[in-house]
Amino acid sequence: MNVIQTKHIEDCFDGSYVYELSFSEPITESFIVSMSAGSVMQYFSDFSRPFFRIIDSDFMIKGVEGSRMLRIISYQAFEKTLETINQRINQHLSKLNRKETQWVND
Amino acid sequence: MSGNAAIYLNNSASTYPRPGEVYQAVVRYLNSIPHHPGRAGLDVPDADISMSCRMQIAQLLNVPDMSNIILNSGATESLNTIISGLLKCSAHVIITATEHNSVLRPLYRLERDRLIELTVLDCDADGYVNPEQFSRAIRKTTSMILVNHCSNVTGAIQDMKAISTIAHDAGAMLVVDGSQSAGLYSVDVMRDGIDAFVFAGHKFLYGLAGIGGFYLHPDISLPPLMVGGTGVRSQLLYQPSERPILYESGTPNMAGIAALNAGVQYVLKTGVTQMRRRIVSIVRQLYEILSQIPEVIVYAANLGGNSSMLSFNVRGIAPEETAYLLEQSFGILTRSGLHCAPLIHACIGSEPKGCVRVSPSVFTTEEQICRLGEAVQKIACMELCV
Repeated sequence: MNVIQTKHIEDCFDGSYVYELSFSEPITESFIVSMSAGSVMQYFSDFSRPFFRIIDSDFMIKGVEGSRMLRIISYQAFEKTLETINQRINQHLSKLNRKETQWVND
Repeated sequence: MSGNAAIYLNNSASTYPRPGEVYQAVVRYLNSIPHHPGRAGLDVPDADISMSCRMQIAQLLNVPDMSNIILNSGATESLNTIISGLLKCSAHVIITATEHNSVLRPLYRLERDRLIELTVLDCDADGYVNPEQFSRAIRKTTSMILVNHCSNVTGAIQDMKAISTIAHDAGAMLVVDGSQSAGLYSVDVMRDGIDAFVFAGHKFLYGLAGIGGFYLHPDISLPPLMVGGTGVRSQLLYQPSERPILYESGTPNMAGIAALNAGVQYVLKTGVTQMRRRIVSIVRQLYEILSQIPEVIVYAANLGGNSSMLSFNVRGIAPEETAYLLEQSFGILTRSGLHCAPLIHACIGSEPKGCVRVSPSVFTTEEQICRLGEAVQKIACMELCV
């Protein structure tokens, strides 16, 4: 699961920045859970494709499970938000790797 | 359309799907030896698609002489041609708050450069402008009233006949932006006293983006926006003065004209009233559903869904968020924001972010509208559930 594109969508009047991240694979439920570590997550499972929001004091992430894109509204310099997001992606990937290794060992 | 396929409800931007005849006409054109009227190509019967297209549009708008139908890239080019060509220095122009940026921007530029004076009339909460407002705004220097026939936000229809009487009594001309109305509402330039009527090919005339044009009254002298090759009378070093080639320089968009020709034929065959009735019945169905959801604000509510489109917002959710959810989570394509008509929102109550617009076509089904209603219901509950 890699970020393949980061697109600057707009700068808002309230001083926030909107970016769109595209991923190499569709967003899964476990990815959403990993991304929400340390933040508040809202997950709407009754939507045709579940919608989620991850609310943090410095940013908000929103997207749809199964999509390859998510939107980030950053209330701080986007680079700082991206740093946090990358950390969470890496944590998610290492969790997946651990599971895969465990599966191979089993 | 299968149950899980995307539902397209943005026909006021560009129509989709189109009648089968339109696809066939474009493929037929692309598979044929290029034929450019007056320029080159095999001389085969009915090969002059542009003549057929012009003739059908003339029939649709009740224009006696089809040479007064000009084909070009669409409404923006048409409006720029008319605005830049017809307005003399210090002219006064009256428009309404319902206008699209293709009208506002050319006029505001002229006003900023102090070349014209501009009056913008407010509309009511449904998008209507009372003709008396035009009467009150008339000045000695008023030379043009330019009106959006059908609002692209509420679908409100202005009274062309009443406005043209006011314009002509004041010695002004009436220019009508018919981008949303052509193909959906009966337009009769003779009956309604319209001096220029602009149409877009890719909306309810079922053509492609990049084709459209305008009707211009034969007595109005208008310089062309562009000059160049016309394929005929090439010995002239100045632009030929006869219509339509006066305004049609450059190689025409023949694939677009082929599509428009087939689209207008479909509209004439089906009937404008029939098509409108179908779309209005769909909008009314949607109005009935959305007006039952307390968290939903339906704009132009006095129309009761008797319109070709419906705009709404979900309380507490930005329109772009609602449209994003509809698209990403439910596969329903609408349009959100200001809809290139930035002035109407202060009048209808959808400032500052605009609204979500649903614009069906004759091909929209009741089932698709039910699915939209269910999706909006879920979105409306979203904030309550968290």
